[in-house]
Amino acid sequence: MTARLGHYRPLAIAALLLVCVAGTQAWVDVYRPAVNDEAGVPFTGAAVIVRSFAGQIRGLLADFLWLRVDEYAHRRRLVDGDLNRADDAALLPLVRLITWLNPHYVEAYALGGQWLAFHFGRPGDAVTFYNEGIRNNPQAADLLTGVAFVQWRLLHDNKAAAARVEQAANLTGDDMVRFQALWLEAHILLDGGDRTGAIRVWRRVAAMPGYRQTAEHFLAQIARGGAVPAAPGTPRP
Amino acid sequence: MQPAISVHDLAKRYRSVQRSDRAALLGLTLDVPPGEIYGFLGPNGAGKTTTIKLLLGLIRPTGGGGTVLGHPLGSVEARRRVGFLPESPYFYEYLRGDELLHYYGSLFGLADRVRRQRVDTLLRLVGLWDQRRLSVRKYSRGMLQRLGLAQALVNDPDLVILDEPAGGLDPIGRREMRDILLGLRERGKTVFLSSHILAEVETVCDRVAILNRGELVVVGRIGDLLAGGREMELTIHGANGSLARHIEAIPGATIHHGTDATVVVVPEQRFVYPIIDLVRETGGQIVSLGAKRERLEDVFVKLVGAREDGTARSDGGGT
Amino acid sequence: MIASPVLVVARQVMREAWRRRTLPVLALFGCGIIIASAFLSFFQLGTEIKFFKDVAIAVIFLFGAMATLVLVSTQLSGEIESRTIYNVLSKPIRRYELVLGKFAGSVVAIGIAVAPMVGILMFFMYVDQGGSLLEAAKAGYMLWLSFVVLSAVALAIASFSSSIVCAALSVLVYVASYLKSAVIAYAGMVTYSRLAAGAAQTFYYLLPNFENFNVRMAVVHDQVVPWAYLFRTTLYAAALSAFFLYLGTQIFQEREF
Repeated sequence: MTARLGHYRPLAIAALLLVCVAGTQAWVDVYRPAVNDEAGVPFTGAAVIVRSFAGQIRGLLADFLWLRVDEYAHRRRLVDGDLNRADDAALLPLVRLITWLNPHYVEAYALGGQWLAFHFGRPGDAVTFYNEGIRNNPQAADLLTGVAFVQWRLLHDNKAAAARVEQAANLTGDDMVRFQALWLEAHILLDGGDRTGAIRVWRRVAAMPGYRQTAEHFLAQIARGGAVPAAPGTPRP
Repeated sequence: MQPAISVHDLAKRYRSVQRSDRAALLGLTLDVPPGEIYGFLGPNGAGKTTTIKLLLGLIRPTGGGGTVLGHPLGSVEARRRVGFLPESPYFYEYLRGDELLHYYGSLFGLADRVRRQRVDTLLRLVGLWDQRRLSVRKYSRGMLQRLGLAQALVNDPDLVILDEPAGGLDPIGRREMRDILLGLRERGKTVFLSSHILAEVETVCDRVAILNRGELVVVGRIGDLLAGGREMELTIHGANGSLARHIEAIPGATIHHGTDATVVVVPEQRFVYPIIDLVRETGGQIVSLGAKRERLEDVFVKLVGAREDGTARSDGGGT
Repeated sequence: MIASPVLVVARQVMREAWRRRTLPVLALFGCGIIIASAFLSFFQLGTEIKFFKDVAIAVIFLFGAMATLVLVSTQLSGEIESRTIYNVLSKPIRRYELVLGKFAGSVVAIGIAVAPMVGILMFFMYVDQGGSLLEAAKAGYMLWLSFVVLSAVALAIASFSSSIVCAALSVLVYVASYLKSAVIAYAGMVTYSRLAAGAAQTFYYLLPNFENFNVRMAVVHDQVVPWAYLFRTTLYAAALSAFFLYLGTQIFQEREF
């Protein structure tokens, strides 16, 4: 009997060690979100597969792909003089890969959203792409203003666009950037016929140190019934 | 006194998926008395290396068992007091000669001071003192063999197991090896020696066991194994044709004509006297006369050849 | 002083790693690439340090893994193939002591090889004021932990295979550990069975998860890796290494030479 039990001892020890492995893995998983900045990202199956193959060097791969995208984009601009070409479609898969490998690559989301909306005439896809970027990077003001511009200019959804810009304005701690976001919001609201909303926004600007005079100027213009020009620095295609 | 090595019905069968099972050792029973140089002989594939590996625990027996210095085969306690020189030893090429000995000495748990002294002594003993700082990669075949012997002795073992210790050594090296082995015996050590060089075995061994196809063919003292029969050997100068005719008429006699002498072997002493008379009559000269002593090689070939032919096993006179 | 056989073998492994030059050469190459990348300036303004950190972490990961595989896959298998195993196992050393000694020596040697690369990363981060040096050291430690586990895996494989097969299978296990997330995702895509989901979860818990040791963002995004996470992952690495070492010693125990 003892001999028979002894025969199974190695198996028992191996099983015990496996239990320890599983247990410590579960223990690590409790803390993993604290160190895994990609924990809450709902990757698609394809994204998981690509990320799995890239392993620990996926960050570096994303960087190299971005260099390629950036190089190509600037070469087209400098050499060909025109970035508005439909055959930039070749770069879309690269952008998609970059965001799979590193969902915090804000520049890739911004560029991809812009291309989809203004080069390929796919504003719906652009908003979806932007929204994915915003979900993975809720603090990225660039993406919020970017999607707002698409919703406003291409989809004519002023209400949604204004809401996004409002989010961007609440994020940033920089007064200049907040001012530009609020200016854009006011413009979008006014363009959509919401004069009340526009006035409310300008009053918020007036409360910001150093911007009272500017805000009062535009409030006066609204009162006179004039249109308010777009804020400087508003993203353009 | 407890045997240095004691095995009973020791067997090893190698299992193979592609071919049928191969029996390397079939029930070996052997006792090696302590303080002797014990020769372990056999043709290629007889099972000698298999036996040695079983003693050291490098492989496991499929039958039987035994002890080495009173401890189970392959046990750590046994290996602590055993030194082993494998056939054609391989060592870490990136180490120097002295470093290698220090490494193996450390595995025996030797204290630093003891280990240092012993390494220096052994390097001098095997004639590698001047090459001790050379990388093992640069050692010749003979130097590797000497280094192998040194590492086998680093723990001052009670039992030394040597597999083909003279391999790669020149005649001077072989003589030095022989002197070392004899020195070990004088100090009460047991040497278990497996070798193909029967002349060397005959010179140093007290006892031999001969293995063939996994089975023990004969075991016994050298003296007993070589204690030949009643044959007589005569060496003659100036033999002529009449002598040759006379010899041919004797059943079982042989005659060999050399450059300077003729060697005649007759089966019994009674045939010697007529030959002496004939040589005197023909003006020849008897150079030497005596009982014909067999060499180990003769015994070996006879026994192994007999087994190959399927004839009965010869009893060499017991252990 | 009388050292245990494990320590004796470990020292020997470290000496071999140095004398054979493989680890020093790999470490030198890795350091060279990291230093070179610090001086490349073709990327966008403001992201140089981020790019450099990504490169450095990737180089440490790649060269460390390569050094681990090269060193460990030749330890047991190499001894058997070169027949030096006879000399070692005829000495009073237990087989599990030999395996543990090989493991201990390997992980220390790999740590020594990886340390300069981590040091260079920390140096440039200090010069560029590009983040916390402590977090960089933690990331280096975590990478070393992943090499420790990889060493245990490779030794377990080496207990029954040749050097080349050991290296190949170790790479396979390493890649498979990253791919298991893909397998689980794929299983989730193609089937809604609870049994399949349970099997996938079991798969997840029992196979090595090298992603646990990936704290790249600690360096790149200047985030903090909690000490508690470091402690838990260390225990995970210890459990996983113990499992594979146990497996390896059991297989090696039964092996005949």
